[in-house]
Amino acid sequence: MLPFLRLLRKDLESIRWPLGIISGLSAGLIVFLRFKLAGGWHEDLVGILMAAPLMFLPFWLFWQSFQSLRTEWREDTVYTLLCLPVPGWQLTLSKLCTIAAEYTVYLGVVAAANALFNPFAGEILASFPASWLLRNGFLFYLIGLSQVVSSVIFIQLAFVVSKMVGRLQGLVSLWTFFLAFWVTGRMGGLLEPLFRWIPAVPLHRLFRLDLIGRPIVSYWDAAPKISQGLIIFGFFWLTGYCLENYVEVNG
Amino acid sequence: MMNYADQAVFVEGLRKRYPGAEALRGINLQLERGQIWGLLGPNGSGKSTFLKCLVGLAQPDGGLIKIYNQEPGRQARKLIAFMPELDHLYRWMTVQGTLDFTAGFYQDWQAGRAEELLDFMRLKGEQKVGALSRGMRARLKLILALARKAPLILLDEPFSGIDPSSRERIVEGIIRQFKSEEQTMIISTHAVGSTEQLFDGVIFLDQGEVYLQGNAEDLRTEHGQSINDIFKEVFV
Amino acid sequence: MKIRRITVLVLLALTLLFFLDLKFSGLSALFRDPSKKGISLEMDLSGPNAQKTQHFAWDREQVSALRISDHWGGEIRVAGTEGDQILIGTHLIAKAASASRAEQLLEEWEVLERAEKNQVSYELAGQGPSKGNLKVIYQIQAPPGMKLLLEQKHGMVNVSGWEGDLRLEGQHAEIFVTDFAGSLAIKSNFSHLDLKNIEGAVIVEDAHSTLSLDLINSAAGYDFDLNLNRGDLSGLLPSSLELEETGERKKLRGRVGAGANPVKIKGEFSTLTLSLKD
Repeated sequence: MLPFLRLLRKDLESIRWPLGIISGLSAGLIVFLRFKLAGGWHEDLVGILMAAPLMFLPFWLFWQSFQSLRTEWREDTVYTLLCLPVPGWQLTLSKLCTIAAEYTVYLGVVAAANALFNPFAGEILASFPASWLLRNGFLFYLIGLSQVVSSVIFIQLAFVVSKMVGRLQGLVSLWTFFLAFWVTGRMGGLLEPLFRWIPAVPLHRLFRLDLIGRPIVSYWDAAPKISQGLIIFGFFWLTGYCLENYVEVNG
Repeated sequence: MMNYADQAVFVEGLRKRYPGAEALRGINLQLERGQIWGLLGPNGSGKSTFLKCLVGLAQPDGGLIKIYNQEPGRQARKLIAFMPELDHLYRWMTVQGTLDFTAGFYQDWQAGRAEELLDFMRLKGEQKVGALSRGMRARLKLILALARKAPLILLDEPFSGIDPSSRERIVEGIIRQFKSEEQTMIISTHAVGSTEQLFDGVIFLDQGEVYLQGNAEDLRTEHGQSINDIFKEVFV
Repeated sequence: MKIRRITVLVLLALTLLFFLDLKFSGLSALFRDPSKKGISLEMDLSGPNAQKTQHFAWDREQVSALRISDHWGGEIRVAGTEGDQILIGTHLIAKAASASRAEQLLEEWEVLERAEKNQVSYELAGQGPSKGNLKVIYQIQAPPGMKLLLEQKHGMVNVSGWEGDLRLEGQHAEIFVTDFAGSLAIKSNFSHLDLKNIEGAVIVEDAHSTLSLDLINSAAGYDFDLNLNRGDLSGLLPSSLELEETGERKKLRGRVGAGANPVKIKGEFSTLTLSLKD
């Protein structure tokens, strides 16, 4: 476990500055807009601009996921990484956890800035009990996190495959990323019958949807997501295995 | 079945192709333990590719490699301390941070030796790697390889682009730290010069093939000239 | 080189499978997330945490118009009565994390009555931030001939067996009018309107809704003037009507019978199904 923690610490330390700057700028933008709203800017415009940091998040994480591996090759530190006597999955897991940490910190900073300075968010916050907001906020955070994790795994797979092919790497990684999505959906569909015995998840209870004001009953059939999760886990394992055994440093 | 256990490195029919070039063309080598081997050849002769194949950073297209009776892979990496020619250091780390990071992965890391080497190579722990000169970074890379009690040490062009004073210090460092009863070392270089004194044995690599291999002293006697002169005769 | 070749072969094989899948399943099926179809959603009206009922009554002579405004996803139910009184029952339902919180909401909120000249209005009013946790069901018994103004957002309107002047405004609403005679005027968007057994004048101004209109034919007849921009029009249309299509625009004009009742519908992105029964 110690080697993995070393890797994780190294990856976390490497993102300190970019994460700090981006989070700071996003929070700064929200504070700036708060003052501009008081100064007479149109509230629709301010509302849209205040949502911009959240809309920016997926793009930022997508870029970071790709960069976290690409930088190792570009700066030749991949020699250090691939010489380490650790399983490949620890190398990819460490980067995955780092992106998850970026997601968490960035989301936390932007959510806090919105809660404090965004008057539109304030109205929503005032409409629901704090415990409900925390519970649902956490559940939405987990849903987002699962999306982030699966995307990062696809990106890592695409990157490693492109390195194994060696030529037209940009194109190969894009196409692999696309194929990975397709395979996950289709293979997930094939495996789904195996998990039909799992009871449906009562979303209305999980999210306490009754507090929205419209009594809603909603169930979510978890079988497809579980089967897709298995495929994604398979991709994660495959990426680690290939990274450890087949990927080369630059010629 | 052949027993490779008494050899540090056993290589048979090793081939490696890159798109448009054949880097290694059937290398056969058996390197005894406890010696310093000079892997000599001009640029492009396949020295780096050969070392990368030993570590597992390049995948051979054919042939067999055994490192202390192990195939290249995770287990073999525990036995190898590799210093690549390229700058593979994280530039945002400090010197001490780099040592600590590396130490965490290897049970054979010797903190005392690392400290001693740091002092000997005139580096300071708090210095940022990105702020070091090329010679200083080369010395740091050497510390990372030599601070381990690894059975096999691979140094790829450790003197490339290094100023003479750093070069002398590196050579001295290698001589001081090498433990012949426990370790084997392969040093690749395209300029023999003053490093000749280091080698117990030499391998001349030319266009991906072994041109000449043998005990350094025997070759000197046989050819009646120094290894450096043989190198010049063969390659220049 | 060997692993490179294997990787390329696997990628090519998957690409081939992908294109076969594309050919036989179609583009939309390829990336459909199977977990999305597994979400079921329905409203549960049973078991409110707390409920408060208010009753109001007016003599028909005192009131000529009744206005109900509901913006919170409740229901407005109207039925005809032979009596002389207008009866309004309101059920205020509060949903909250606890029964005590729901009771508190009921104390803070109530249906407010306002009377101006000959018109009375009802609307939810109160203080506090939890308006979204409340829902009102209005049950109205209305004598014929009066004017009803009903506004609904996100909820439902159900008018059945009534005669008079009905004006509806709906946003994201479900509107059902059945067995109605008189004058019907509707302004709606993003709603579903089901108007059955309607006799009389119908004027609709709509955007983005689905509208089904079943008219009952009578001696007075109808004068149709339908204008649809980027919408769909279907149904059993009398042959006396003339349909004109220009680009994205559809116009339906013409008379049936004496043409005394105007049917004027203006729709943007609306889906209209029209039928005329004898």
